Amino acid sequence: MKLKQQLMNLEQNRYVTPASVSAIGVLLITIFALFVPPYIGMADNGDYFRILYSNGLYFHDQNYDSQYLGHFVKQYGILQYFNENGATIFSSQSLFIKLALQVNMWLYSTEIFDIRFQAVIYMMLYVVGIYLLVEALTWKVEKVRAYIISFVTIFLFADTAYTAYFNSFFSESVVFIALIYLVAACLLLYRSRYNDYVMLAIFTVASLLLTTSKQQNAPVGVIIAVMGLLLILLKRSKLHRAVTTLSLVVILFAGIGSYVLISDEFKNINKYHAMNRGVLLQSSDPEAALESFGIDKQYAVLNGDIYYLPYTTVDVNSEILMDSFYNKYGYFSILFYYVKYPNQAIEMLNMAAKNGFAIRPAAMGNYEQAAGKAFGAQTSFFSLYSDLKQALAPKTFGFVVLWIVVVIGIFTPSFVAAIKTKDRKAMIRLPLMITLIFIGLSAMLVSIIGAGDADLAKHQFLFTACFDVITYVAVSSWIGRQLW
Amino acid sequence: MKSKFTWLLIACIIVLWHGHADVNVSYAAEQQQAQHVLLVYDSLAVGSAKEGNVDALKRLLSSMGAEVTTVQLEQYAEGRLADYSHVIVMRNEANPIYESDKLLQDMEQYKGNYMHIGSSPPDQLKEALSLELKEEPSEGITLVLDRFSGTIALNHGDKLIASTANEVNTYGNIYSYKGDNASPYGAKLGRYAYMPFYNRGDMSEWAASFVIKDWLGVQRQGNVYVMLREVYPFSDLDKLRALSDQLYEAGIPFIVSTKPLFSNFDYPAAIRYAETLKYMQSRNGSILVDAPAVASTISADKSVLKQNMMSYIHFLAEHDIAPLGATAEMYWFADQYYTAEGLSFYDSAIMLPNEKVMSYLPTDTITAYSSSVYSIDVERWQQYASREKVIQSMPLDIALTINMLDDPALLEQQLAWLAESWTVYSDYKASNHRVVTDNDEITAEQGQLKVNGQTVVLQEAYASISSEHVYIEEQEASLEQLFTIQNKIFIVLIVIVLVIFSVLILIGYRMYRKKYRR
Repeated sequence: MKLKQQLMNLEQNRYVTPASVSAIGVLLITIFALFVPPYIGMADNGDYFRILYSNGLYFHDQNYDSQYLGHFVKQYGILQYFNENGATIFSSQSLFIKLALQVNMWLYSTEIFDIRFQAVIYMMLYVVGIYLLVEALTWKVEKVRAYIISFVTIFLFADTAYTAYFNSFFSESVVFIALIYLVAACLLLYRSRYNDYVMLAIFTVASLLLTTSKQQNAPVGVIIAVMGLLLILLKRSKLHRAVTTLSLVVILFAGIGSYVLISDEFKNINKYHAMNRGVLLQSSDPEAALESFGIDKQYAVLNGDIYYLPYTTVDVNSEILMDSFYNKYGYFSILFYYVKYPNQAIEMLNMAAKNGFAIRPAAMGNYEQAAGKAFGAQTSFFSLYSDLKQALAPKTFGFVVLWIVVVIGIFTPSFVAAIKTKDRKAMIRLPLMITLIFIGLSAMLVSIIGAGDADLAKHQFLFTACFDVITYVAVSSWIGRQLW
Repeated sequence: MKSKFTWLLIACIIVLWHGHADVNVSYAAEQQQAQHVLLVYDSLAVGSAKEGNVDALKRLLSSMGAEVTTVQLEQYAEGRLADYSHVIVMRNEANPIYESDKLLQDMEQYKGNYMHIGSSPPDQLKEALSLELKEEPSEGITLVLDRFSGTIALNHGDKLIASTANEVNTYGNIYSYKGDNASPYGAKLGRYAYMPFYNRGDMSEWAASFVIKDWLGVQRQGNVYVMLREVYPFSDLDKLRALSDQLYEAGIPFIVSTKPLFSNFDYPAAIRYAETLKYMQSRNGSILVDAPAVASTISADKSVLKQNMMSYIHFLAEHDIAPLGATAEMYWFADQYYTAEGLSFYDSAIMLPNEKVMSYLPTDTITAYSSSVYSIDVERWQQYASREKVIQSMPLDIALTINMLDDPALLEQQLAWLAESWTVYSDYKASNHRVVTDNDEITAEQGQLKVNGQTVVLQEAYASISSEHVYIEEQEASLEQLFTIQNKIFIVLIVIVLVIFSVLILIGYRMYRKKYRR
């Protein structure tokens, strides 16, 4: 009762709303994790160089090689001369890196880049996103229930498995922040909390950032553009319909553009994995599988091979693979193969589900070398949710299907009611959840079709993030009696 | 009796010692022949036509059995010259941008062999050779040396030798397009030698080997080998066998640089690869192991390379194939990690030009091998060498490489050229080679191949391998059954949940209707 009274007192103070409590809570925990020694971040798994060099940065630490996978490195050199490294990947992440670089050069150094400047930018954006999300879920909700939601939010979203990405060059930071804004904007539209046009703008920008953050997110743009058609009917005004249509078209083209701009090297790596760690891996007759694609059966020796192995029989970009291997298949022919052999597809989906509940891959350490922690050591600070999820989630595709059915089931009554009452805004929530489910599933499918079982835990970050956000919205709606 | 036994023991020790000493002497002799060369260069000439000539020279010197240490002029440390019997200074910049006082001072005291390549030769060398240089107005020249000739595009600032002392040995003749008097390409007298330029990929690269051979004091004549490159487990195996038949019938022994395999050794595809290599070996082919592709220099497990290479050598040995040495891009030989973990099994190597450098622990010194061969593409060789001339002297062992990924028509043309050429090709396995790993020992002695002490019987019959193989163990099938049961349970659960939700929706809908009917 005392707690209830205290929470009610808090609410009476108009400056500390549940949304503010969540935002401040997430902010303080993240500051403590990322900016108080020992600093928490993510070790480089070998992917940093692409985004680093294309943004005018380089590996400054002389012992960098020995810290791959094991230790987080916070400082990098800023190239002082003409940067001859063209952009090897096109990612919205570069916008944030460039902004952080400018702030770093302005406040700290023109020669050394401290990644914590980037973390500050991500953190501020994240906290605002959390504020909007909680505001959407707690507006006009009974006070005690609203504060419970805010504490659930802190428990889930201040988890260091998510926030450690801010101190890294992985694009997962952008993916997660954009996802939060996307959901918050839609839910705020649903609740009619703020100006619809502002929310639509946030929705569009968040969708663009999400779609262009990673090449594998290219289908996300298409999914949002198609599922977002309902937003056009939200209002009868011509202006609204024109602005919404334009936004969806831009998002659609961003998706297509992301796919088109995937570099050949990336395509090759992914195709290499798609065949050797996908089609061949689960096949009882890899030679026959290869011949069904018109590929020489001798390529069966590559079964199970992974690009990330340091020494391989063949260079993934070699002429022989280009001419006799990659040219023989594409993503659609692999998809068709899985349709033809559903047992193999189910095996792969189960494999994907097995790796789909890890927010941070086990391979990467969180501490700096100077912190004196073991190579590859991961933080246990404020990571109860991610640890529980990793330990307890039933890791099969069957569970994913069950979860989807439950989510659709609990949001359907309110959607049916909205149709009955012709309340267009009230119809948004179920399609939003379905959109998020599709986005999550697309991450899973793209991982399997595009790269087989290689690096599954990291490739499926978007699935695990969607799973958390959907579950969180469902639980919060239930706590706030907003479900039915 | 005791004295007889003592004599017998002494005799045995002498015999054994003698045998042992023979081996040591032969290896030691090779080691003694290895000259330690310091290569000092002013610039890598990145972006210019001379780019890559430092690496090319390193490869040439290493292939002649020299141990080469490289240092940039700016980083030259005082007193370093004294450690080397031979010193080369290579100047790529026409107008020196940097002078090392330390080097100039050391040069005055230096009594070893000195070679200068490029601009600004030092005074003592100019005096020793009575060297005069001249500007060459025309950009295109022709260099003729022995039975070889080729055109060269001169770079801005390149000069030619105008004159030398009469007693100086000169190498080759350079003819300009204007038809002026010929100039020599190289000059050597005593411990001094000079070459006005050295480019990668033209006749000067090959001509330099004649000058360097004499300057290093290498006595032996080189051999010419033919080598097939880019042979993968998934190459066209039928074509490889047909090609080996073609070479065999033309009387051309050949080397096969095979791409290593690190897993799936029991697959029919892997066994087909081994059978094909065995067949090629029987057709006078010598099998060598190519370095693997380096996908990443990030690896937590440092022993992986050694284990990988040993597993492939063992796979070959198990199939009665005798790998006799290594082929690798040059940067492998200038890397402490690769030499220790990936090349330490071999005493014979063929260095290939760098294509994509992926160093791990680079070092400035390339260690000499007891058998090193210099590789040249057949396509390039055709530009220097004439098909209808007998080569009288070869400065070093060379391998004429045929890229199996090339267009089939080009391959045919190159094979025809080699077959019709008057060159005598040598058999790689005719010289001595030794490969030793933790599990296997492979030797070639005077053409006899031995794998773990057993003489390899060369069989021409090719065993056809069936595609039948159990790729997924039965155990996994039972797991699959488990998964199927699990999926069925989930399907039942899903159906139950769907029914419950349908009922709930129905109840809700009725309640809703009743509420509004009132």
